Amino acid sequence: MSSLPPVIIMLVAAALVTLIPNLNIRRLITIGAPLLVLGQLFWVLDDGSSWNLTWLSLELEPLRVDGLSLVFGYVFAIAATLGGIYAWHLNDRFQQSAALGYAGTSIGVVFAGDLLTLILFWELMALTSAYLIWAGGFPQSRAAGTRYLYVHMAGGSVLLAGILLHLGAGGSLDFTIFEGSVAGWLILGGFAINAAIVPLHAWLSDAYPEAGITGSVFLSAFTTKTAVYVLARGFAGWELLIFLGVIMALYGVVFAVLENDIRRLLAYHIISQVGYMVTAVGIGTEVALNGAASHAFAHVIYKGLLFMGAGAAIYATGRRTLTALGGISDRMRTVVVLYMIGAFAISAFPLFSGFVSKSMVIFAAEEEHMSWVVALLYLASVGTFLHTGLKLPYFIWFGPRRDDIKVNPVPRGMIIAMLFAAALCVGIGVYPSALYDVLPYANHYEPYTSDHVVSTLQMLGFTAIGAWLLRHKLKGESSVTLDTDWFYRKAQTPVRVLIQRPLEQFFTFFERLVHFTARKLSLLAMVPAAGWAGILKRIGYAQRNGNEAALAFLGRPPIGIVIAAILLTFSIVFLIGALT
Amino acid sequence: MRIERSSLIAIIIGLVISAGAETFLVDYRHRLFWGSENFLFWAAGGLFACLGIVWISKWLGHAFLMRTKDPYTGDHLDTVEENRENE
Repeated sequence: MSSLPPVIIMLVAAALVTLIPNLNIRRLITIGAPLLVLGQLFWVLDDGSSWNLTWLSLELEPLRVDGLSLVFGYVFAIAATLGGIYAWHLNDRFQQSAALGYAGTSIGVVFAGDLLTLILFWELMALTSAYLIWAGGFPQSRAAGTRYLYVHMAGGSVLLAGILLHLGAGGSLDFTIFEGSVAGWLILGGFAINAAIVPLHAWLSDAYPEAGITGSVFLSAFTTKTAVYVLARGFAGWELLIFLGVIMALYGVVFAVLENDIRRLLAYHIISQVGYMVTAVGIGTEVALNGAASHAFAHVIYKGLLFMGAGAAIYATGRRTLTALGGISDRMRTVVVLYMIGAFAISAFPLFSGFVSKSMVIFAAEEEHMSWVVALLYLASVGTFLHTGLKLPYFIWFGPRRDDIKVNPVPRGMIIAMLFAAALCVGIGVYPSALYDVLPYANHYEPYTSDHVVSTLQMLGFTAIGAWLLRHKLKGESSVTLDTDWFYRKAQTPVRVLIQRPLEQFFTFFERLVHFTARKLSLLAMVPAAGWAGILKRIGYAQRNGNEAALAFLGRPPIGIVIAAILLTFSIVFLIGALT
Repeated sequence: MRIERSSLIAIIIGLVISAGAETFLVDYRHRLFWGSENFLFWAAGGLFACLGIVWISKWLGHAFLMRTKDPYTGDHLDTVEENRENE
């Protein structure tokens, strides 16, 4: 087991789940497999473990373990376990399997030591996650899932093109830091789509809210954080990422103000939070990469908790917009308390996980004297608390009691998963060394200084006062917010009319022609006399004088010529096929 | 903008607590960027950043980004939402 890639465990579990009819066994596998992987990462695999194999004369490395991959591996295994507990009530073997496959392939990407293994799991990750959106059950789920898959297939193609160019130029198959060549930029483009870097981000806010309640918990954890990992591995120190990261941090905040759908609002905050990580990768120092890894770790847990809380509200009420909710806090007390722990964590309150991870990213920028980055990341931090800590809970649960909203009980599995996630958020916040000790580089950052604690509390406290002053402006509005997906969604019709339909018509014409010819020729070959009679009928002689007279006129069918004609026709068809 | 009495009281209490904490608990103010080491900078920053984010975002939303009619399906949003809640 010391060189068994963890992805194998997850994929075997995913396959088993589709075959086992017993729900309880499936539940145990869904939780047990990621726990097994977690155990393997803790006790079996070490920094330096690897597994190499040769395939078609290519030297592949499906398992490469080091400090950076281990941090992401740990948190992915934890997230998959929590997701499995949250989805305990779910009786859908294909969703359970897709979730395991999605988590597994994400882990596969993290431990991929070569570019071919990386692209394989990258594409499988897109496919399995798309299923979670398709299975969402909301009116827009199918269309959103398809758009999600198209975008990710496009991203995968860009990535593959980059990898092939890189290899063609004599580059190594090893997944290491990339140069600023065309191949490098293409690979960065492929990674940027999954990282939801603005303006390539709209798939995230489009698709995540349309996934199922349990599916969105999984989605919030893996795709973007896997992208952060590959960026940290391949593009650490690329300064462009600093600008893009800061833009992401602010962009998500602005759009969250406008959002009415509760999970779409949280999706915009994924973009914002991933912006911190992308900034850290762009800074590229050891502290910054530690910051990116620790913030990704904390983010997976607290964002999962926030999606769990939002999902619990949707599950209990059947409503998903702020305008349709409110006044139900007394009937969902436990969920509210646990959600608020996630909200305090993402807002970086002292004693919660975000405080010890987000501030490390800001500290890294400060060490490099990037004061404008520091200021703008603090600004984004204010927006984060404003939306996830104040606006969302206030309009989902608080306000005047509404008896017209029926609140159904929330399954116990959901609450237990939220409890574990909340415990981790507090645990990391209170005892940050537990997280700092698994970071890829030695840590010298200390988050708990009196200056940092007091200034954070001042800033967040007065953010709350500001939100109270403008609470009427924060109310949800029934609207659709235009985002960059407008360009490709609006382009659907012209693309269909100008490109897809003519191509389809062209191919359909030739398909019919080939079918017709093949049918006639096979008839001629099987029953030559009947086929011959058919030909005679077509030339009109038989219609005027009858079949017998026509046969007498032309004689028996020349079998040799017919066979030669058949062979010649098929040869031409194959030749055309081979040439095109 | 008319400030309610309760908000005014919250601001005053917040300022008093902030000033007290900064005076008695913080021994050294770290300079992160221009002005960040000033007394009560973070309290003022939190308040004005919050107000700025809401105002600017809402202005951008109402001026350019928000649509009450779904631009992709042509449905009116209120009707969609009512149908969804009735399901």
